[in-house]
Amino acid sequence: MSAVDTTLDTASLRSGRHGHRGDAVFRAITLAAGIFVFVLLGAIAVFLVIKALPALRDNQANFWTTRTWSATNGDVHFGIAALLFGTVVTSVLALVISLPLAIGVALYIVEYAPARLSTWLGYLTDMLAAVPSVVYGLWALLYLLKHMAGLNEFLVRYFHWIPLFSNPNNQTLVYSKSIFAASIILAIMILPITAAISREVLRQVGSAQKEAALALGATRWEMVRTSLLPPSRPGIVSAAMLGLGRALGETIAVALVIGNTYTTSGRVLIPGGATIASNIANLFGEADETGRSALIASGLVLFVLTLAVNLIARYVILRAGSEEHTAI
Amino acid sequence: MKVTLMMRTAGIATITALGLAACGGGSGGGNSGGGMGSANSLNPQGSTFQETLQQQWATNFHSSNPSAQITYTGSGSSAGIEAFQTGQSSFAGSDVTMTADQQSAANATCGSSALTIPITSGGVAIMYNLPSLTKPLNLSADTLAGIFMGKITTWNDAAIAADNPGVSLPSTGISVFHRADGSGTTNVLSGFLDATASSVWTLGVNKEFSNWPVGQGATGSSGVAQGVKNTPGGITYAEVTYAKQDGLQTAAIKGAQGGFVQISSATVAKSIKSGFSITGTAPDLAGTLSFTSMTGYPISTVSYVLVCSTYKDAGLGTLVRKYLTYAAGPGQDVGTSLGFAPLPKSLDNKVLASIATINQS
Repeated sequence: MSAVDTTLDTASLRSGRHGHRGDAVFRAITLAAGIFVFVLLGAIAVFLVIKALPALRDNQANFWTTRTWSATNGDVHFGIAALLFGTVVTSVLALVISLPLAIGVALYIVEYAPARLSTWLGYLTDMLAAVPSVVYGLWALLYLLKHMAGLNEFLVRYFHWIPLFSNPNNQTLVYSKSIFAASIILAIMILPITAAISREVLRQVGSAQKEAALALGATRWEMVRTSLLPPSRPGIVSAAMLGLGRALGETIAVALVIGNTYTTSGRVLIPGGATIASNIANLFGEADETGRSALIASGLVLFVLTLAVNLIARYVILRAGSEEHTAI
Repeated sequence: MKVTLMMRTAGIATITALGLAACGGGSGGGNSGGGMGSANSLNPQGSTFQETLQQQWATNFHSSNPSAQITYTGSGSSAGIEAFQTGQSSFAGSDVTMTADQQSAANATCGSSALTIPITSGGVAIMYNLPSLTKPLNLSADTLAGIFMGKITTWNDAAIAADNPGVSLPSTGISVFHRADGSGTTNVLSGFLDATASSVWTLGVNKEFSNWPVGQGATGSSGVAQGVKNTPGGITYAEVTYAKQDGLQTAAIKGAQGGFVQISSATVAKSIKSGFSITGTAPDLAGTLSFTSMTGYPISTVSYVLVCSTYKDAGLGTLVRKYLTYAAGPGQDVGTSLGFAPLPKSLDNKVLASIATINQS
């Protein structure tokens, strides 16, 4: 069948020079979809900036260093110091607690579990991600907080020399709604996402590399350490960043479980702490125009923070991807 | 993939259906009474202080008027005023009176003057968790201010002992719970402390404070009550129904007048009679509270409804009038079991007179 031209002219396919009307329409639709994403992001950013400006202009206190939050039509002095501190500390602590667990879960499912168990474990972790966050918040408020008393006391008694876990005023930690409690519930919430993506990433590593390591006499753990984890690092980093992104924005669960005081003390076991999202959840209902504008300003900061985190993740992945990874 | 005739038909049908739904939903909805309401349904919203009472009234009113559907949403006084002045809800519940700007916006939306009418009264109970005490604690205004300002940190402090001679107090630390969200309840408590203990209470009067010197915040009255229930030595302020439902004791408070008074329907009503004065001209009954004049339970407040004096929709106006006539009449006794107090008779008569003028001119 020499009359059929079987060479693939990809360049002309892409530029649409092949001329079918359907192709042109489809190309236009996909272009529109791509542009729509940019337009949406830009529109959100512009909205945030415009709505935040009135309060920022009227603010009589330094936005970055003030801890208190008072924004009503006559009396405007608010600052994001405590909120930003709380947001960053809870999210980072949540990531530190959950990432090793997530990687462990993923490794177990991919490497160590028998086949049927690993499929079921995969489904179960995915189902954990489907639980609504407000349900997590209610469970934490009504059950977890009460049962954390023992853990709080243990940490204070043996680790109080670390400022993070100290309790200088000897406050009661029996039902402590603290940054630590919020971090724990956030860790539980980001575990499924991080585990699911890590699992997918680990599964992508070719068995040739793993078998080569085993053939050279490596133990199971050495094989994992040298030929399974290194090539998966960019993927695991992106999983961690996705989890971090979710933790940064988590609202109701944190608002129910955190102590809602504007503190920058860094003692995570003491009742108190607030995040940008929980502050918005608490104050939005009763806020007047200036109050809403101030809350939107804090939302803008959170937006920029999440963008920054994602950009850093992209950079890490780019750099890691350009290195050579060998199995030995 | 091959696009069969079946798929093509299904695709066209789906797109048409979606298109029609979009068009239909936008222009329709006039008769269904979404938003403001209609002759048969109301969607008021506002103060969480009166939320439980409004919901009880709505249920009772519905059983005697089966065609009427009233749904009260406790979204907060500010949200309620906002919804009322933009015409999104038929009337609003509010713990505070409107500012001049809000009043003119509401007047414009109503097309007639907007009225502020007291509809119920209640007290802010001080509840605590000290299972070892058999009798309720006495707390004077200065002691209460000291506790909420963090000056008094243990239950066996000298100030508390002075208020309670002969009672053995535990040495537990005091865990203060306050509202993290803005609330009329915080407004009332801070108003009381500012009026009667201003040397100790220095935060002023507001719906929420970001600079509480002590304690932790919880969301909603149920959040603070829950916190106290789970923390021995906890103390907080909330509507009295939460103390009852969580089994917490409430303190007897001493204000500017009289002795230590426990919260009850009768003591709240006594305070409203002595401490509430009307500043508006009838039929508008907005007023102010004077905590220093209250002779009953000293942390009491009224809660208002904001209505139009003449609604553009006559059927809607009639329903609002009937519902509020019930609320200000037989409905006043309904609130007693929920922790609210009926309005004093003299005030209630004025309220009924104002409500009777809605859509009557």
